[in-house]
Amino acid sequence: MLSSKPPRRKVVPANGDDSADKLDQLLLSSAISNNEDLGPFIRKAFTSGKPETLHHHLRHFARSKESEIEEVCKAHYQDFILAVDDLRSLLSDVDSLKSSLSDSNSRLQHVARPLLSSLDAFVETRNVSKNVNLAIDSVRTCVKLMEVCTRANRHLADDNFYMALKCVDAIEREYLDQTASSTLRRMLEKKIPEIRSYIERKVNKEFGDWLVEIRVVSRNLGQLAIGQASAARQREEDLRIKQRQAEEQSRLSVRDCIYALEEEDEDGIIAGGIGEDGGGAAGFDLTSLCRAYHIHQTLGLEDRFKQYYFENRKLQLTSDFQVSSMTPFLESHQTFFAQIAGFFVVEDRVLRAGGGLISKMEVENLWDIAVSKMCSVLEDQFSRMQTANHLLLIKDYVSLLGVTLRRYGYPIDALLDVLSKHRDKYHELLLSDCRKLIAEAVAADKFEQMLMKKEYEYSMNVLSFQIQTSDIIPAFPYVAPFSSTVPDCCRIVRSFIEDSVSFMSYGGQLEFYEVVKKYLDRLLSEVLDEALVKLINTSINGVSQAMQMAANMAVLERACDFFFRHAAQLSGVPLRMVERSRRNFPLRKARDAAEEMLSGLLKAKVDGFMTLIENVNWMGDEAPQSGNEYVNEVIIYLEILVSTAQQILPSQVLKRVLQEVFAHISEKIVGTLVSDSVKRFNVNAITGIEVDIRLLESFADNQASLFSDGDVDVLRASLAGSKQLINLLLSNHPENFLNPVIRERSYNTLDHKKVVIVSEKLRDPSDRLFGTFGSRGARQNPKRKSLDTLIKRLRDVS
Amino acid sequence: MGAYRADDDYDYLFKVVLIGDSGVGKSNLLSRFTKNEFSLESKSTIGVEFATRSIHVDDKIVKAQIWDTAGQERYRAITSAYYRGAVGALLVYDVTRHVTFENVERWLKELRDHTDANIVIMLVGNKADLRHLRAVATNDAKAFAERENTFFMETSALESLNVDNAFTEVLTQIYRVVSRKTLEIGDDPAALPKGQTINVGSRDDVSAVKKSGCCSA
Repeated sequence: MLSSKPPRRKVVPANGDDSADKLDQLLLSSAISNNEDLGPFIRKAFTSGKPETLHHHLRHFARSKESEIEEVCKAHYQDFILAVDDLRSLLSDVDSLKSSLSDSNSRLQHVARPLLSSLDAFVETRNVSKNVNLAIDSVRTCVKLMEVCTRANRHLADDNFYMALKCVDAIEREYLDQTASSTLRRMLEKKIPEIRSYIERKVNKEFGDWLVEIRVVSRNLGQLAIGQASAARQREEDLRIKQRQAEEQSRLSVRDCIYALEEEDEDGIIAGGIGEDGGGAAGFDLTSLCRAYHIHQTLGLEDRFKQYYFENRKLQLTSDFQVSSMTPFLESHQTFFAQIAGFFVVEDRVLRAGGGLISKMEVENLWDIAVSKMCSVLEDQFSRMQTANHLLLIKDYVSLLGVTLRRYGYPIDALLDVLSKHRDKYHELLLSDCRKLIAEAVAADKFEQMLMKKEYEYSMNVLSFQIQTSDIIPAFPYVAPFSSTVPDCCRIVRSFIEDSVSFMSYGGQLEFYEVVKKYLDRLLSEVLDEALVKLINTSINGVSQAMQMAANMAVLERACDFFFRHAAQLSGVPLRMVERSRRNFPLRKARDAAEEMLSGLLKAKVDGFMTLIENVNWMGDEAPQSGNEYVNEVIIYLEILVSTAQQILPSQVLKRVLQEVFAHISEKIVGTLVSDSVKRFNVNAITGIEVDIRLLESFADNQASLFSDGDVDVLRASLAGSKQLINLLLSNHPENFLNPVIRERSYNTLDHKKVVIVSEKLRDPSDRLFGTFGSRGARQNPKRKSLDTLIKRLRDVS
Repeated sequence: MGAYRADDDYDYLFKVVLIGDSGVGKSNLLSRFTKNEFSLESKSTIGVEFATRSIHVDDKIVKAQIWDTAGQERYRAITSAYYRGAVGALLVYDVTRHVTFENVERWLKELRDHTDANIVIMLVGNKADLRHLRAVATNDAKAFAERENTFFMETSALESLNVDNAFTEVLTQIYRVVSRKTLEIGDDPAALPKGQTINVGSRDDVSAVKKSGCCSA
C-alpha cells in the first residue's frame, strides 16, 4: 500500500507543484498523526531534489520548539529545584531499600537452598520415572512377547504344532513391530522362519513315520477286511444250506415250510447285525496324516503337501506290486493282495475323512493302476500254474478281495474277468488231476465186494452218494454189491463237483450250473468212462470180475444221478428243475463194455459146456428123455451163476446178460447142426434137441421172480433161432417154410441156406434098418417127400 | 600332513569294485564317498568309471581306487577286466526293490568266480532313507550276509548315511588282510637276524574277522 503511493506522487508534481505541495503536507500530517513510517516521505524529499525546503522547515520548527522549551523552563525552575531535592531524598531512601533488599535476598537464599535441592531431586526423579515407565512399557511388551514365545516353545515341546504356528503368527503380526529391542527383533526375524522350517521338517518326519507304519497297518487291515468278507461268505453259505434243507422239507410238509421261513428270518437278522458290527471293526489312525495336512495348510503349503502325499502313496502302491520270485506266489499271494486291499481301505478313509487331501479322481487313478497290475500278475501266475488247487486258492482269495473292495466302492469287473478267462484252464487241470486219481483208484480195484463193518462206513461209502438200494439201514457187517472202485471214484467226482462249484462261486457269474454241468459231463464221459472202459478191456480176469464190474456200473449209474443233483444243489439250482431235464447215462460206453465183457466171458464158459454137444448120438434109436449132457451142464452152470449174480447185479442187467447168453446157446445149437462135424441125424436126435430147448425155457421161466416186470418172453425169444429150426425139422409139413405167411409167423429167424444144409442131413430110420418094408416105411414117405420138395425149391431159389 | 607328503603319496593302493543291479545307486555311493556329491538325476553309468580317495588306517595312508560299473546286461562283456586285481567289493542292492536283492546271489557268484578268495565283500542296502517304500527287511539281508560270510550295511547316498562307514570298513578290512599276509611272510626265520620265532594267527582269523564284522545301521 505504502510502496504504491510514491509512483503516483512522482507523476503529480510534474503536472502542478502548488497543489502537489499542499497535498503532500496533508499526507505528511496524517502520517505523523497516525505514527506511520516517515521513511518514504524522507526518501521522496531527497529523490525529488528539494531537501533544502525540508531542512528549512525542520530548522524553523526546531527554533520554535526551543523557544517554547525556554519558556517552560523559566516557568518551572522552582518546581525543578524542588524535584531535584525530592530526588536526592529518594536516592537516599533507595540506597536504604537496596541494602534492605540485599539482606532479605541473603536470608531468602539461605532459606530456599534446601528447597532448590529438593526441586532438583524432584525433576531428576521425574525423568527417571518417565524412563522407567518407558522401560516398563517396553518390558511389558517383551513380557507378553516372551509369554507368547514361551507358549510357542511349550507347544513345540508338546508337539502341538498348529498352536505353535498360531503363536508364531501372532508374534509376527502383533509384536515384531512393537519390539523396541533391535536385538530381540533380529532374533525373532531369524527364529520365526527357523521355527516354521522346524515344524515342517518335524511334521514331514511324522508323516514319513506314518507312511512306514501305514504299510504294516495296511497289510493287517487288508487281511482283516478280507477275513471279514470270508466270514460273511461262510455265514451266507450256512444260510444257503439251511434254505436248501428247508426247500427239501417244504416238498414234504407245509408246516415244515413255515418253520423254515421263521428260521430263515432269524438268520437274516443275525447276519445283518454281524455285518453292521463288522463295518466298525476296521480301526486305524489317521491322526498323524491329518495333522501333517493341517499344518501344511497353516504353513500355506497345502498343494505341495497334497502332491507329496499322492506321489509317495503312489510309490508305496507301486512297491506293493513287487511279486517276489524267491517266494512261490502261492505262499505270497495273500500278503500281496491283502497289502493292496489294505492300501485302498486306507485311501477310502483318507478320501472321506482327509478334508480334501486326496480327490476321488486320484483314488480312482490309483485303483486303475492297481487293478491293471493285479490282473497282469494274475494272468502271469495263472498261466504258469499246473495244479488246479492252486488256481482255486488264488481264485478264492481274489474273489474275496473283490467282495471286500466292492464294499468300498471300487469296481472289480476286470479282476472277475481274469478269473472267468481262466475257468477253462482250471477245469482242464481239474480233469487232469481227476484222470490221475481215477486211474489210481481204478488200478487199485480188487474186484471184490466191499465189506462194511460199521454204520459210518456205510454212511461214508453208500449214503453219501445215495447209491443205497433201500432206505433201511442194513445189518452189519454189510457186504455191498459194488467194489472199492465205486466209492473211490464217487469221492473223486464229488470233489470235482465241489471244486468246480468253488471256482465258479463268487466269480461274478450268478448262473453257473450249466458250466459246472458241462464240465461234469466231460469228467464222467471222457475221464471216468474212458478209465473204466480201459479197465474192463485190459484187467478183467474171469467171469466173477466181469460180473463185479457190471455190478459196479449199475451202481455208478445211480451215482451219476446223484452227481448231477449234487452239482445243482451246490449251484443253487432247485432240484425239480434238474429232475425235469433227464439226460443220458454218461458212462454208457463203460456199462456196455462191462456187459459185453461179462456176456463174452459167459459165452466162452458156455462154449466149454457146449462142446459136449459132440457126444450127442445123432442116429440114436430113441430120444433122450431128460435132455442131452451138454444142456444139463449149461443149466447147472447158469443156475449157479444166477444165484451169485442176483446178489450184486440189478435184474435189468442180469436179464440183458442172460439174453445174450441164451441167444448164444441158440446160435451154437444151430451152428452145430449146420457144421460139418454132424454128417446126419435122425428124428430121435432132433427130438432130443427139442427136449434140450424146453429145459432151457423152463430155466428161463424159473427166473421170472427175479425180474421186476416178470417178463420172461425176452429170454424165450433169445432161443427162437434153434427152436424154429427144430420145429421145422419135426413138422410133418416142412414145405410150409416156402409159404411167406407161415414163414414170417413161425420161421422168421431161419436162414434159407442153413435150412437146406440141415434138411439134407435128416435121415429116415428106415435108411438105417436097411430096406425094411412095412407100414412104418409107408408112414415116413409123405414127410420125406415134403422135405425133398423143400430142399429142391430152396436150392432152386439159391 | 600336506606339508610333509605329496597328494598322491600313499602306503597302500586298493582296488574296490562296485557291483549290483542297474539303478540301485552305485554311482551316487561313489560320488558321495569321493566327492561328497549326490545327483538326483538317474543317468545310467556307461561302461566303467572310477574315482579315488585316500583315508587313514592305523597311521597308514590307504588310497582307494573305486571302480563303478553299469549294472545293465549289455556292459557285462567287460567283466574280467573289471574284476582283475580287485581286493574289495561293495555289492549294492536297493532296499525298495526286492528284485535287486534277489539278484545279489548271482552277482556274488560272478564276483567269486573272477576274484581272489580273500576279497572283502560288503553287502550294501542302499536307499535306506526311503523307509516308507522298503521292500527288503533288514533282518533278511543280515541273515543272507551271515550265511554268505560278507559284511553288511544299509546306506543312504542321498542322506550320506553310512556311506563313509561302508567304504572305510571295507578298506580297513582289506588293510587287515594285507597286513596279516605281510606278517605271515615275515614269519620266515631267514628274514629275522636274531632268529626269533613270532607267533602269528592262522588264516581262520580272516573268517573270524569277517563274521564278527557284520553290522547294520
